[in-house]
Amino acid sequence: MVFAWNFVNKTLVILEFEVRKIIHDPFELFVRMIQPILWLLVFGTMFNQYRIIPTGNLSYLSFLTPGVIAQSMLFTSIFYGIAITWDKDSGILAKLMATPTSRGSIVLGKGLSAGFRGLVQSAVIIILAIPLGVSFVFVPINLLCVIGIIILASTCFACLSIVFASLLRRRERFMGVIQLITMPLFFASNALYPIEAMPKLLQYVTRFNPLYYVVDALRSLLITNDLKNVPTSFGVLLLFTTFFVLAGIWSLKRLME
Amino acid sequence: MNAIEVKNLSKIYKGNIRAVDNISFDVDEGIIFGFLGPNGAGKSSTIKILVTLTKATKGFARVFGVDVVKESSKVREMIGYVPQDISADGSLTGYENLLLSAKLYSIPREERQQRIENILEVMGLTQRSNSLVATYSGGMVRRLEIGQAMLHRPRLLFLDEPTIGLDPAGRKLVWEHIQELKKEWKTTIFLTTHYMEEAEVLCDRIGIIDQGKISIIDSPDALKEMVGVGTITVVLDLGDHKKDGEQYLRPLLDGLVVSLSPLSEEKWQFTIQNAPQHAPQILQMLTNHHIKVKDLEVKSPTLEDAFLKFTGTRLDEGTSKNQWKALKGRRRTFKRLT
Repeated sequence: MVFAWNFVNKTLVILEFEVRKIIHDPFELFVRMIQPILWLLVFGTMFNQYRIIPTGNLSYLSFLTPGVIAQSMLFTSIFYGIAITWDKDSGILAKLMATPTSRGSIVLGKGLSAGFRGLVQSAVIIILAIPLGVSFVFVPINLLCVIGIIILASTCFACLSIVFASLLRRRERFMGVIQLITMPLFFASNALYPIEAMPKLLQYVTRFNPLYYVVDALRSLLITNDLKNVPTSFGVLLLFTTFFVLAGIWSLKRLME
Repeated sequence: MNAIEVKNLSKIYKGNIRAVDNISFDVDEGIIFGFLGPNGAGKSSTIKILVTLTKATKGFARVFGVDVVKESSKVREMIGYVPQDISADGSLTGYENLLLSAKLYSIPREERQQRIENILEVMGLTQRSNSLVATYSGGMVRRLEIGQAMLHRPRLLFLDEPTIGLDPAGRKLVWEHIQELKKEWKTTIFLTTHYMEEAEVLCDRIGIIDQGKISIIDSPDALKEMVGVGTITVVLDLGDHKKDGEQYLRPLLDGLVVSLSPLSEEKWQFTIQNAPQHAPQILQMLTNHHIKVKDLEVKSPTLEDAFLKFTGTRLDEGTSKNQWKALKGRRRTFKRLT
């Protein structure tokens, strides 16, 4: 009991100070907003006009918006590991790990702070999409679930990034590998087009892509209000996140050796 | 009780690199104990084991009787640690850095504010407490870091190269603070350094370490005494004996000096037991023989001499590879902060 309380408490402390850092220097937060806005305004509106991609009775922009939210979250969180390598190369991580703070709290606190970024970015995207004619399902319980999904997904990708950062160690290698995995994650998902449009084999691969479940859940909760797949998506995402948090803890220990 | 107890400790990295090679030592409570050695001697590796960051390959270490591996979380609560590289977060303010430490060490809410204010004042940072640490000078960052490590009043403080990269004024201020901690707070301090002067000013006991091994542990005075010899450097006007100076001087000084060597035509260096005490005798001898002494410099044995005697290498040499690595690390840290 004491241990659990301590764990939660320390995790929140790590989260608090990560958020304070973002607030001190929100430049990156704003810059990261530009890309999703372009996807929405340029890519989205254009494809919306020509109806190239079959999205049933949804407008393409409505279909795309949850995808863009997921994409902006992925692209921000996936670089999170670089901050860990900075902290490792200075003495910040060493000092942190010599305090009575469990490795789990450190990884989870940092991961959750990616969730904070994700929430801010998602809110901006939603606000921007409304004047473009996207109609959202604004049901409180749905929005609460959306917040949950965004936090889970950001934590998942941030921890994945921490794992890669500690395995690769050098920043140059890390950047290369991350660039390499981000695009397949993005394209082998239902962010830009329905998976029915994909070859059979790729459809199968998609089932192992956490981004697929993120987009699916967001689209159900925000746009279609067809909730039958949401619990599954939520469950699978929770599994992915747990796995990468645990892997992150393992890799953090390894990083210090 | 011993503050630190280390027995047959080794840290062997991949490729059979012995960073720490079977060392044993104890540190008494309430003293400042220093590891003196060049970069790559195994100082930081030893500290990392003691502060529970890495595990030793062999042997064990205890902090106030508590094993650093088996009960690492208990050890973490008892110690404070300031790593060699910059560990205060440049993207937070000085106050926030302290608040973070206060929360991580579970200092009760009602005490936090007062302790932070107290530390800010002790470390002379009150004025700048709300500025981002990225705008601090090197000395201020170090003082903040020591303050962070002292906030929970640990019984034992680890300082890894506490004044590396500081200017002389900043270094002196940090020294004063370290001495203050020992005097006022009765904190036991374990530090590493490759600056002789630092070891001499601060430490009650010094362990000389090189290539992962401890050569000797003793007080600075005892170490220098063991070296025994100092030097006297003189500039002489030998008159007619300018050409055969060595043959002329040697018999005169026989029995007084251990050795004698010409540095230039006029300049000579005598190695001598207890140099300051014997200097007048030398001077007397030279004037008796009508040799004019134009300049004279007496040097007691230094820790540098002790280091040379016990390890066979000079302190400032080190291995170039390790120094390069250390330099790279420091540059990176610097880049992050600016």
